[in-house]
Amino acid sequence: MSNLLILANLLPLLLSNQQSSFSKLLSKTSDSEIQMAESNSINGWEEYYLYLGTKENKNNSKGKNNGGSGSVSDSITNVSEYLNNSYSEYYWIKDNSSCGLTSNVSNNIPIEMQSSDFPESDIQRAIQVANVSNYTSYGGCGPIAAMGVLDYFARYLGYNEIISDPTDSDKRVILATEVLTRTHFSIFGGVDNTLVWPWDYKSCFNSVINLHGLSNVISANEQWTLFGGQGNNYWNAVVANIDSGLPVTLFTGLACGDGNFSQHYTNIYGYETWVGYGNNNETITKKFIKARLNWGWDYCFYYCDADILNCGQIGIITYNLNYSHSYSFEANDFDCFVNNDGGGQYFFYNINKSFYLPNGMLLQTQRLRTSYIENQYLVLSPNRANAGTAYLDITFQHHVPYLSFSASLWSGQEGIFGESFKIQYWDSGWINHVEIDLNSLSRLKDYPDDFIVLLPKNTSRIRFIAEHNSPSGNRNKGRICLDNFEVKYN
Amino acid sequence: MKKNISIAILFTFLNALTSCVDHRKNFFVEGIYSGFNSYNSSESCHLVVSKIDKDEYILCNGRNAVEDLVGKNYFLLSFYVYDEGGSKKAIDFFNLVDAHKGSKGAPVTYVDENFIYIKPLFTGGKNASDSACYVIESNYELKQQHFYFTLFISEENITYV
Repeated sequence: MSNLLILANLLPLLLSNQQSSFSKLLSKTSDSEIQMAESNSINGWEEYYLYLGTKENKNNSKGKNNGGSGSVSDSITNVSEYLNNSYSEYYWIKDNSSCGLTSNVSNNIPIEMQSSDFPESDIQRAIQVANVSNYTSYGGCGPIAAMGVLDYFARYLGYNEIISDPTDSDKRVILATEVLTRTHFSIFGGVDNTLVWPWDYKSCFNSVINLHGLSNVISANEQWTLFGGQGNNYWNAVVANIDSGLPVTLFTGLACGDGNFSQHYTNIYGYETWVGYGNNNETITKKFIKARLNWGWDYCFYYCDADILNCGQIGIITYNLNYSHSYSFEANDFDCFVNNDGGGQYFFYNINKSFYLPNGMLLQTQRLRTSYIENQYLVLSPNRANAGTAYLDITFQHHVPYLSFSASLWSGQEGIFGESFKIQYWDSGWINHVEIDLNSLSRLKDYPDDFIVLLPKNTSRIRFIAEHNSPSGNRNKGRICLDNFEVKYN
Repeated sequence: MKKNISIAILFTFLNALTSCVDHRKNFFVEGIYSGFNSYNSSESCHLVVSKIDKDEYILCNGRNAVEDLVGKNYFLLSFYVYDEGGSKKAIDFFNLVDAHKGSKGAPVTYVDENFIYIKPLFTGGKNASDSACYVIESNYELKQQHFYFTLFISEENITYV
């Protein structure tokens, strides 16, 4: 009976629009997928879903004993437990060198929408204000995800043009209203199951950004696949964006099972890679995305098997931060950080020094236990008796929303137990921003690791600070080398 | 025959098109729960959830009673907020209804006529951790009682009613 009702409701739509709607969907995909549709004689919804159905059955069954509903879109709260249950014949270790979080770059992850940071009651108010209750009863997961990313840019990266105070309910309602009034709700959704296609998500997001005068700075782009098989490309896009401190929004359609990540928009803010070691020395690798489900579930972390990125009817929305100016400087630009004899020396007191870079930019610096050593290295050394702290404080002539640099330990014998290394920014006081794990930092000073830091956009003063909680000895230790700086700004 | 096959294919297609994932998996569970106001940590709350039958639900006449649309049961709710000084205030729910009007696109939330929302978080442990149990929030326009409580199973064995 229910099928008859569905048929009655949809038949007019199908008869009138089926071919044209599918053509429109096809037009949003890549040339290769259009060719694929042609070669498989997929001209309409019917052939498409028959194709997806066959493919889904092949792709969506998961490992044995997985304990869940067996869908590739299941949410996972404990990856280790999941792997040990699903692939119990392997011994699993997380590959920390292939893991990332936006917080490694920006010190933050997107908020969980519909938590106390952006509660459901705000969204319900916005639905009324935007007068979209005929299209959605709950706001739609796409628009809600967009609000979460817009909040991220405002709350953590300082783009207050979007929302001047994310902790103010009225202002959140205004932002939610701006999103909802610019959302194109698909005819295939409805008030009971809101559907927003990825290209409409992108248009909405960029429209709100444009409304706030930031279209030259922030933009969204979408990739979308009808037939799937884009897992590697999407994974690479996720990794590149997370490593740049920017979340990725994932759209999932009908072809990825019935888990929490299915038919949903989620904001990805991390990724993990795990390696399984078998009894016969064989290894397998499993990848996971870490995301906000945006149902107010901020009391847990949620992962999904990255195989979901290989499904059909999947889209990802990536975000760009554009800067109109940039320049680089290097360790040897700090060659004035020496003593009166021109030699390197880690002074035990603060020294002010202002100097111009070759491009004419002024750097106003303060430093403690920081020097230019061996005519080559810019080094902080906090570990020595009567020391404990080393810093390099730089004030720029302009804002510094983007900073990249390379860093390494001077050697593998620096006595770093009890030492920390942070990047701080000045906002009426020093604010801890990103901390770098010294245990995983390169110990080869000629092969340093690269880092990107996104700062609140009005930042103009930053500090590299290394602290040792039990400095000792009469030699300069705990040494950290810095080089290859790049700043970007508007 | 050909017509029958066409109809069968059409039904298959329609099922695919309309067989949306039901994200309404969250249901009420009996117990005593407690939490703190995210907007004012000096405020705490207790929620007592008791199962009742349909007749009792009808007798409640919409006051502090809810029909669980997922678990298909009826519950009596007793919700108390404690201020910094420990003073207890009962907050009543009046005529709780589905805030999402049956939508399958998101977990179910219930809203009363004063725009107080209650969302059970239990999903049977199948798809989410059930470490938290309920969220109760008020509309910001109710500035006198603006709260967002995340409630967990109460560790105290106290009778509050």
